[in-house]
Parts: sequence; C-alpha cells; structure tokens
Amino acid sequence: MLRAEVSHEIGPLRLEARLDVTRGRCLALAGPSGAGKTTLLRLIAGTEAAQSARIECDGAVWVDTARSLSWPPERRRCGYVFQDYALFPHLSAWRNVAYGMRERSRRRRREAAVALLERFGIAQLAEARPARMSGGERQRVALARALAARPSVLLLDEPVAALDAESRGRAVRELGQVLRELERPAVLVTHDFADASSLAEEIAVLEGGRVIQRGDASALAATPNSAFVADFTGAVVLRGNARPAGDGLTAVELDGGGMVFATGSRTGPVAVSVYPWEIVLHPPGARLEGSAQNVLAATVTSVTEVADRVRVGLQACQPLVAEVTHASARSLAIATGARVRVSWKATATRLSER
Amino acid sequence: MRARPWFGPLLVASLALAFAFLVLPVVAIFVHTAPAKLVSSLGDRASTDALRLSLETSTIAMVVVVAVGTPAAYWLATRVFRARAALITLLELPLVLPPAVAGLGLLAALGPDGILGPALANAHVQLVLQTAGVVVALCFVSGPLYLLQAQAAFGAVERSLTDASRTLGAGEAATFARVAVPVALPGLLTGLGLAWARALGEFGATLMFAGSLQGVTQTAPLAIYAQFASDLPAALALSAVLVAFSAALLVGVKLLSGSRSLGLAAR
Repeated sequence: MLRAEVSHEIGPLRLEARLDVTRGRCLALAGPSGAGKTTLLRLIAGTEAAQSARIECDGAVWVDTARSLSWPPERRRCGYVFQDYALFPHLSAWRNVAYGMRERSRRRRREAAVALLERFGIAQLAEARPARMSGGERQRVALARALAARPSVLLLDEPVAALDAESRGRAVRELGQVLRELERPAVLVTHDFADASSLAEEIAVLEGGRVIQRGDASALAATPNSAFVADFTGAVVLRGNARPAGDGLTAVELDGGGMVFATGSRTGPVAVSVYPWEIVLHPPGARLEGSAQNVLAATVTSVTEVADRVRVGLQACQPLVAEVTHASARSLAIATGARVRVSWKATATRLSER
Repeated sequence: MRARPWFGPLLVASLALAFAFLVLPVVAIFVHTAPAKLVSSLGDRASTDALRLSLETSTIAMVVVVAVGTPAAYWLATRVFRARAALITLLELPLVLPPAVAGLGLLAALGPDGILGPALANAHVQLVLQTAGVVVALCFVSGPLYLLQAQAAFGAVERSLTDASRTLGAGEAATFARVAVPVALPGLLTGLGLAWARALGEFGATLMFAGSLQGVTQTAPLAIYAQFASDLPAALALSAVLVAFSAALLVGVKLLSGSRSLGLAAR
C-alpha cells in the first residue's frame, strides 16, 4: 500500500495532493501539462525533496517532513520508468537491466537480466547499447530494468508517449500484462484516456496541483466535473453561458451562437460536453422529430475512418466531432464541405464549470 | 542582388594569410635545422633532464588535478546554490591571470615569507626552488581548465540518468562512479587533454615560483629559453618534441569530442 500526502511548491505550481494505491492496483494520473503529475512521481521516488509531505509504503514511513524524516531514493527503491527511459548509454541492455539487481554474482545477474529481456522478446539485444535500439526496444529495456530491481512501487511516467502508434499498441498490451502480474502499487502518468482506462483501475485527474476528480474510467466519462476531464475522456467540449430554463433544464448560450439544453441547473460560464457517439447527423433540410433537443447547423471539415466507425470533424459555432457508422456516412454522403445538422439529447449533455 | 566577384577570393586570401602565418613558425621549428642535428642535440643532458622533468611534473600535476577536480566539478555541476556563479568566476580567475602574477601570487601564499610559509616550514614542506614547487605551479595554472571542462561535462549528464541510478538502489557515490563519470568521460578526457597541454607549456609561474634549476625545476619550456641564446639547435629540438606532444594532445581531444555523441546517443 502506497499512501502519499504532499504539499509542495515548485515555480508557479502549488501541489496539494493525496493519493493511496493498494498493492496490485494501478492508479493513473492524468491532467494538463504543468499540473504536477511528474513532480508527484519524483516526490514519491525521492528524486525531489518534498517541502511538506508524509509518504509511506507497506507500513514503512518514507517521508515525514514533520519529523524531518526522508529516505533517500536508493532506500525507497521505486521502479521508475522515465519519460525518456533514461537508459545508461554506456551500458549494454543486460547491464542496464542488471544495474539494480541485488544478487552479488555477476553470472547470476546476467542470467536473470537476459531472462527478463527474453520475457519482453528482446533477448537478442542483451549486448546492444541503447543507441542502437528502437524506441520500442528501449521502452522494454527500461521496463525490464525497473522490474529487475524488485521495486517497492512501480512509477511510470508516460511510458508509451514517445512511441509510434504501432509499437504503442504492443507496449500497452505488454504493460497491462506486467501490471496484472505485479503485486505492488503502481502509478502511471498518462495523457491518453484509452491507456489510462485499459491499464489503471482508477484515474486521478490533477489540475493546477490538485486532484480534482478521482474514479474509474467509466465514472469519469459519465460525470466529468471539469472541461479538462470531459476533453480527456474523449468528449466534445463546447463553451458557453448557462442559465436556468425551467422544467429541470439548463439552457446554454454557446460562444459563437447557438443554444443547447442540458439537465440540471447551473448558471454562468460552463463547459458543455457530449460524446461523439451521442451526436446524430442529419441532412441540412431534415425535419427533426423525436426527443433530441439540441440541434446545430454545421459544416463537415474532416472525415476520418477509424476501424469500424467514421469520425466526422464539424464546424458549428465551435468545432465538434461526431462518430457514425460507415453505412450512415455513405447514406448521408458525408464529405468535407457538406452541410449537415447535428443533434443530441439534453440528457447526453454534461455541464461542468470552467 | 549584385554579384560581388571579389568576395570569394577575399575569403580564400584571408584564410591563406592566416594559415601561412599560424603554420609557418610551427613548420620552421622542424625545418630550420637539419633533422640529424635535432636528434643528436636531444641527447644533451640539460635537454633530457628538462623533458623528463616536464613529463614527471605534468603527470603528477594531472593526477592531483583529476583527483581533486573531478569530485569538485561534480559538486559544482549538481548543486544549486546562491553563490555558485561567483564561485565559478573565482575558480576561472587563474586562467586569465598573467603568468608572472600567478607566480607572484603563489610566492605570496606559499613562499617562505608567504601566508602559509610558516605552516609549511613547520610541516617541513619546501616548495620554492623545488620540484614540488613546479607541480604546485602547474596545478595552479592548469587546474581551472580541467575544473571548468569537467563541470560542463557533468552538467550535460541528463538528470534522469542519475535519478534512475538512485531509484535502482545506488547511493550518491555509486551513482557518481557508475553513471556520472562514465557518461561524462569524453568531456573529462577533453578537459584533461587541455589542462595537460597548458601544464606542458607553463613558463612564467614556474619561473617565478620554482626557478629554473637544471634537473630540479627547469622544465622543457624553461630549458628552451635557457638554451636558445647559446644552443639554438638544442632549443629547436626540445621545441619539436613539445610540438609533437601538444599536437598529439590536440588530436586526442578532437577525437574525444567527436565521440562525445556517445553520451547523447541514447536519447
């Protein structure tokens, strides 16, 4: 069990966060750049000295600034996968992996390191220096190195962000496998909601140094409590001003024109979020019947095929995205420049403060 | 735009002038006197003494400079503190001091009447007019070169590398030895090459502080000065050896800076 409570000022940022992760579980930290995600990892690992904090892991108190107690990083032994992997350039892959091993005998360390590399399918690179490896290979060596030291906690700082789309899919699957087998707490910093939801049991969203929302992926997607969370979970975010419209509804005057409705009551500037798959496309002259209350006129700006769906980029009063089936895209003759009307239900509309 | 047909030739002419001016004296050292005479005059006692002394004193000085300078440079490169810039400037000062001033400073500090003179005398340490004094003078003028170069080399080591080493269980000393030094090694060796070249050519501070006693404090540059009036071929022969040595150091430094990508290639 990892439990951390930190209060730390760094430049313009004041980090005030508390998190706990039980063994065998992974907590994803998401948030805009500069929200303090990496700083939080560094404070846990001990590579940055906390100004005011209490951090404990498996009953051992690592940091208690009230008692001037702070273990050095080598005593905490967090497995840290750095954003740039931080492989030692002067050491071969197996020596990188063996660096943190506790075994004394060189032969045993080499065997163990090569076995770990084997597990990640790169045993043939055991003698290679990092400079000769691809990004995906380096990422695997970095992960193997962190695991080889039998870490108390696994800290992953955007471990797949530097990879191209192809190696990324594979790396996420491998990482998922590692995390499932790991009997330690893990913290993953990520910018990608799909990665967070597939790798972590829980997601904490950090904004301006504070955890503003915490929950599992579906809870975050269902009730985002900020524009960032809505955007992070893949929703379309529109900006506007809300006022009560009676009947349990809120009307939102969108910046740039247009009006949409949402359930609940709010006033003032809000972020309106709706998921792309909730948005329905219609021909420009169609008469809309049914329960959809939110209708906007829009122009198609892009059409991208994504596996079984088509993502349609649209410009209404503000840019938005809809996802439709290939069949619908064909029957509506969706193409760049086409004029359409979009609609969605008030109940599919979420409001959050901004 | 109007063509300027004279500009290209101007560049070439400037380069030719610079080249001739800078290379001619070096070539002249080798061609002024017949090679056979150069070689034979190297057998001269004063010359062999001077070369041996230069080699010995500069080697000892480099051992001291590396042993003290490497950890000191690491400290400078990895700690952030308020007086850092001022401290670094003070450490750079010996680099720009006129050699005679450096020698006088050493006398005022470590000479018999110097600040630390009585203390050194109590400890039975004699520097002035002694070989040990030459080593002190060489350390003083070449130390800053190494220190600055080493500090830059350590400063260029990615923080994530040393952080990774720490999280993997290595303490600060082990991280220094196993990660920081190996990664900074090309830069450290460059610094060593530059400092060594500077030490081999040292003249003024040595003369002021240690004197020019054959076999004791008369290093190769001092011997060249002593010989050039009486025995030009001998002076030229010694010079030729120093040129060869310095050229080897320069080439070594160039090769090392070329391989510096070693430390960056992993990114």
